[in-house]
Amino acid sequence: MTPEEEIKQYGLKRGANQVGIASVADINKYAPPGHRPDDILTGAQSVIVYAGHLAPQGAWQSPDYRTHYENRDFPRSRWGISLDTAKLIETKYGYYSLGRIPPAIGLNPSLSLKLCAEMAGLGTRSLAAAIILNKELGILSLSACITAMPLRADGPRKEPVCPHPACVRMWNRKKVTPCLETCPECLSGEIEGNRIKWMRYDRRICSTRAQNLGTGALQRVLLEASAEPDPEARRSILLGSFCHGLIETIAAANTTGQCGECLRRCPVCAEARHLKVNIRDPEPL
Amino acid sequence: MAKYVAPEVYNKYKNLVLEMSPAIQYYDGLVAQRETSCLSDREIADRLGIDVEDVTEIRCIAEVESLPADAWLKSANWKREKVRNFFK
Repeated sequence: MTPEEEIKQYGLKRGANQVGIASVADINKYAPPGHRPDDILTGAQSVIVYAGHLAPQGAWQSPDYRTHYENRDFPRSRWGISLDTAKLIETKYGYYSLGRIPPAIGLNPSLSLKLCAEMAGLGTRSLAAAIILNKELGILSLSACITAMPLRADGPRKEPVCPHPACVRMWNRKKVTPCLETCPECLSGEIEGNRIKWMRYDRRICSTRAQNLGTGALQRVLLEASAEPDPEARRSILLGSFCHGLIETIAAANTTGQCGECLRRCPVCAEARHLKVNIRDPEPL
Repeated sequence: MAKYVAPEVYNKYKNLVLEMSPAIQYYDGLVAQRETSCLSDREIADRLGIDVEDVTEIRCIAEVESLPADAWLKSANWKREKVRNFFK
């Protein structure tokens, strides 16, 4: 077994659905200085990227949108996998490695995991907020191990996952796709032939949905409350149900990934989350 | 205590910083267009000729402040409605 195979198997055994390897040289072609793997780990050569289903597929079957993000399981375990791998590489192969990246400043990440996933061949950008779509998994939850170990990279995929043929047909008929139709405030773009021609994504609006109960909302609530001269109104802002839910969510560190509406009708994601019953008549216990 | 950005500096640069930052992202095909947007704080600071720490503060404040105060509350209602319509 090659080191690449061993490292990938290790990630899969620990709960990742797919693992890809990107070279730092490929990432650095696109990432600006200050946001590159070797800005985080001196001498970084490779980034191992772990991808997983966001949640059990049943989370998409709930009529209560909050169920979806409460069930996001891979986001809770993904960084443990990358940390474990970093320790494996250090102890077995003797190369400096990291299993976590520094926190974002505002909404700017220290390293784009989307870019790492793209360069590791785990998927390609989609019209839906340039989210990486994977043919088998749909939307991905990601983590990354940065290592000084030179590994054979998988490299980016040659064929894009988005747009799905059904979206191309819809575009040809209606000049819209399911994601653009769902969230026009946040997303726009155009398909030409069977490729994305251009796209625009407003991260600010997306953050009010995907990080609905998160840091930005708390900062804004505090600003509004502190500027509110009427004590009755101030009480309503701070003691009301929205602020209560906000604090509860932040305390539980569950502040990201709170929206997936642009991908609810996405055919790539719909195919990925489709389950087939394997045992029709289970024997009674 | 956080770095303080003078109001005149903030007001002068907030729209420019937001436009040049990844707050609003443009892609040509699958590749982010980084001539005028999707720039890092350092790249914005170099182009505007201001301090990178000022750019970081302006971006962080403006990205939250540029939206209406009730945007987050409305987003929760928006999601509730989207899911309800999906299961109708």
